[in-house]
Amino acid sequence: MRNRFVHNLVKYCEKKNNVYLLTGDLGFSVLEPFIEKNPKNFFNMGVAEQNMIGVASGLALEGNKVFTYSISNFATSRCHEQIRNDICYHNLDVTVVAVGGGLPYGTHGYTHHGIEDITIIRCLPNMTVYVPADRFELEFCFDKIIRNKSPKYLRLAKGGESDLYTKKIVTKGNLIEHQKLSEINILSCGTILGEAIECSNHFENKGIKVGLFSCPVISPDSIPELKKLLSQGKTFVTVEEHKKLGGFGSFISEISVALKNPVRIISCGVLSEGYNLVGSQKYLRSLHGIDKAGLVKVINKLIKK
Amino acid sequence: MSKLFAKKLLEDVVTMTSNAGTSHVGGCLSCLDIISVLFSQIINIDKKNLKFKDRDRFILSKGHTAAIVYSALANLGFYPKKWLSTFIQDGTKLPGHIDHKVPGVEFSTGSLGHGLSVGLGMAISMKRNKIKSKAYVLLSDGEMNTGSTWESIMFAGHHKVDNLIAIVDKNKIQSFGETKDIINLDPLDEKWSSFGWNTYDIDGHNHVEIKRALRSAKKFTGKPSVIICNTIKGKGIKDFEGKLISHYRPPSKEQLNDILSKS
Repeated sequence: MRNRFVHNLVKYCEKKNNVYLLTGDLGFSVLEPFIEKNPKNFFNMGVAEQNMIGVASGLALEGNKVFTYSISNFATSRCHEQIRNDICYHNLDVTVVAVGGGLPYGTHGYTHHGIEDITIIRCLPNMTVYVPADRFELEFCFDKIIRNKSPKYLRLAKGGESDLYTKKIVTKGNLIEHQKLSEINILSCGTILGEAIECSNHFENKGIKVGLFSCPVISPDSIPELKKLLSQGKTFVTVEEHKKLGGFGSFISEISVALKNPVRIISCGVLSEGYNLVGSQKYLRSLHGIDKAGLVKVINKLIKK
Repeated sequence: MSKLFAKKLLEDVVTMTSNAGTSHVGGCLSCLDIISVLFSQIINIDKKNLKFKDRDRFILSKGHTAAIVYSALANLGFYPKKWLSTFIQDGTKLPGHIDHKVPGVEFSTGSLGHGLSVGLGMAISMKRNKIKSKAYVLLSDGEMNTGSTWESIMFAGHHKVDNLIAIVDKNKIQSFGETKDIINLDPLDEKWSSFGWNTYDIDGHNHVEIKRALRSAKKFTGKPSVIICNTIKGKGIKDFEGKLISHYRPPSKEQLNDILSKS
């Protein structure tokens, strides 16, 4: 996805000269295609994320479209006040791009676990959060990002993610249907969609229909569609590679409670008690119960009830 | 010209903070002469065309001293002077920390350590687009504690962003004491200089020196410039001069009347 993002950005810049890419000294073997084609529109800001966001804001105030690039926590937590005051309050055309969203850097330890970013970013004014699941969803999000002139957060994983689609996503709105609405449904956000698809296939093979939808855009714009979807179903299992507290599941729950007849939401995500466990992404997904097996277990319980 | 303008600013700021019963008059008064020279004689802005391409960009990074800039803009006709009497009142257009929704204000600040980065970004873009104007950023000396400011100083120096002019209001007092006792950064000019900046160290209440330094900085090429202005916190209100209390206490009615009676 990282490479696809840069590929798209390079392509977009062929027609534009007011696009800037700033990095906090990260992006080795990823950003080079952009640098080669647009050397004057690229700055390595050094390990100085607060200044990176401030400079991005200054560039955006002058009418430029700006992308900043770093690892999830450095891209968001380290410079959160600059994102809040400089980018969001001034409603600027800056996209904060983060790699390592979720647990792809699980072996690197807690400092590199991007598991609180959605919570702290999605509450900011004028902000839209994009969490693509694979390169096809990245294309889907990128089309929206280039049209969106307000603050944006693009949460990428590490690279090398499997394709979860076979062709370009064509859908109106922000929600992507994988399996039709059913009694029990999964609402997925981000790369964890791969596990959700396997879970859905598991039940399909048993002749049990489980609805499945991917929601790569977290913003007030997605609410009407989600409201409509929730009001047509009964039970929704949300899944994300992010802490349950304040993340995608919370977003869905907030929509549900505002319904005339709130639906049942079971939120699956990174557990607070095991937040600092270390290991591969596969291992950590299993520990937090957000892999295929974990999701199957949750849905089996619902079926038995 | 700047002296007359300074007199208006003094009356306004003391009236605004006294009537509103609010803080930060000390920092307004320490940078009063700087703002006076800048707005009356140096920066190129237009009340009829707020966002014209070739305007100078001014960012008040020490956003808590918004009152002084609100007064300057009102006196230049950016909005009616009567707005000043609504300063920090319910539903006002003029909040206590500077806000970009006010005509003529480029950027909102209030948390220290944001302004120089933003001015730097503007300066880089202006240079790329061959806009000859300057980005001016006014900082406080307490603000020099912030790491983000030093990140900007390093980057601007390294990239020789010579259309960026920083001005430090060195009034020597920050929120909870004297700067030399909290984190002593003296000699401050040498620190900026070692990061690749062209530096000036002047009397921040002397209009001739302020004007001379600003004009020289405007012409200087090859490095960003910083003008370190040695000032007195609370200047103009005798009991506040050089005192920490001027950061918090609003001018009393007696102090206000004293200032107004000298007009």
